[in-house]
Amino acid sequence: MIEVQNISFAYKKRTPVLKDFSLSIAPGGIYGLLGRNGAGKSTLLYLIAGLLKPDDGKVLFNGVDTRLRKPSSVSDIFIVPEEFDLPSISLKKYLSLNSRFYPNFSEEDLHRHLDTFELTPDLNLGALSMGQKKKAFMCFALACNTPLLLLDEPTNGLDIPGKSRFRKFIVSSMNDERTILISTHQVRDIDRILDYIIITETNRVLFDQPVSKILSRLKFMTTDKQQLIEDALYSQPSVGGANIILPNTDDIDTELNLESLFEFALVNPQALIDAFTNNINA
Amino acid sequence: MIDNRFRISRTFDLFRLYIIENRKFLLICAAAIVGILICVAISIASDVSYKRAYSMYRPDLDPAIPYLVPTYIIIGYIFAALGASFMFSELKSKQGRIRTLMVPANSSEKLISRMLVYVVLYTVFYVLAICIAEFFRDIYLMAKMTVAPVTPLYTIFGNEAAINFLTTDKYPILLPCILFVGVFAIQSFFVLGSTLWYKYSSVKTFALFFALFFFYTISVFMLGSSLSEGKTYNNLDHFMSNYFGYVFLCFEIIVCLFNWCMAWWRLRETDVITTKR
Repeated sequence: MIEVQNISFAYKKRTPVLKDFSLSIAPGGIYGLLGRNGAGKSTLLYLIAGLLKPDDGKVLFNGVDTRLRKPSSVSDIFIVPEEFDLPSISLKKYLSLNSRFYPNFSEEDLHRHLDTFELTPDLNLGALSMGQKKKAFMCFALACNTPLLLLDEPTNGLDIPGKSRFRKFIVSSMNDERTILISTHQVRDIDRILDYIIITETNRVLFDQPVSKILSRLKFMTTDKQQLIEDALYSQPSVGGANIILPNTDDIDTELNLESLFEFALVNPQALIDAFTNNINA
Repeated sequence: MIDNRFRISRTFDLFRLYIIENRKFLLICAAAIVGILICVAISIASDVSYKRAYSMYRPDLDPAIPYLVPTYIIIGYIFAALGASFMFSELKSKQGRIRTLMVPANSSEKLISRMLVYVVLYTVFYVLAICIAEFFRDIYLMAKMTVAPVTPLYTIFGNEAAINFLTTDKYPILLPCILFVGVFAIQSFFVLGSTLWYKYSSVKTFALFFALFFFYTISVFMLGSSLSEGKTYNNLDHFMSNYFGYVFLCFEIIVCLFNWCMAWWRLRETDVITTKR
């Protein structure tokens, strides 16, 4: 579906944000794009959406270069940036003006999403707070039913109930053909809904695996047992002892701790890669 | 599957989207234009003496027309240029750029939908605004009980004297054509400016346009001088009664097309982040 082919991009000539960067995203699933500040997550989203021109390489969406910004590919990609403007008009008017550009837009879906966030369709967009605007805009974004939805820091500005509803809202809109790529720092807001994890470092993809495979290979635990902490691939001190990552040698289902995984990938990327390339069970 | 070719229906959807989303701004601009024109019309009418016929040899001509027409033209040019500078004003912010660029339409449709607002709709509206200003001038002068004929410009088509003022005997259509196409040519510079500079676009374009216009004027007169074997002519009649007028008209059209094409290309290549070095 998305082929990021050897792209290089720099805002300043000598400090590339992405260099010879490649990534492949298959249709269907929720992808979490994680990385440090300045790792190029938002830049990557803009490059995928065709909003930036790579210095080298290209991004293909269903075989079409997104940079050409052809109406057919732009109508299949919706980006919700971290900050955005909405005009001071009613939601109904906004929908009547904008929905015609998206052939798969569904009013029924929109009402369902608005219900999830406890919003009513008779909103005036100009009178909403930033968080409510974000909710309304995300409802519209999902109701457009574009095959690719890019969300940049979607939970920033949402209140605590809003964050939990966001998870429900995303999961309820998924189908086999839709891909959602979420770039965020707020890993705890999204860790339970992700199907794939992509961790990027400047210039490269550190880690790119489906959650099911991660959980089949790794165990995430919180423990105070010294022996387990010493045996762990990665440990991070926490209130109850330490959050640890162990090889999943006994096929136990544990809950993904995205924060620990992210830290592990940044601290010791090679050990993490080895855990997936080698048969660690053996 | 959405068609990637130019679609007139999508252009009108974008036009509608722009008008409704910016209706407050557009209404304020429209009110400002009408207000300014009414003030100008009444101020000129009160300065001109209507107590006696304007002149012995043009007794049928409204004495304000020789002042009003150039004033309306100049104000029309200024507003056309300012309006064109606002054509892509939302590209000033990153959020605005994302919103504009991510609308599923091609660059031609986006550009033409804005041109419908700032070129076509503006021209029609400006003519209407002149009619409104003239109507108020007429009412004002009726209250003043004038002697000389009052001819609001919306009655121009029945008024030979007013038409004659705008045309020459030999080439009656050339001057209005040059003036009319001139609006679009000047606008096109500001359209291009609005896609090149997102901040202070009108000021920057004006400075560049003024420099180009100065360079062009000097070049044309030097070229004209050499073609006319050293004789130089600087009066309007000579300019209109020679091929220079036609050359100028063609030049305006070429400038217009060139600038619009450049604006289209620039819009197509616009990036969401503009700090790239």
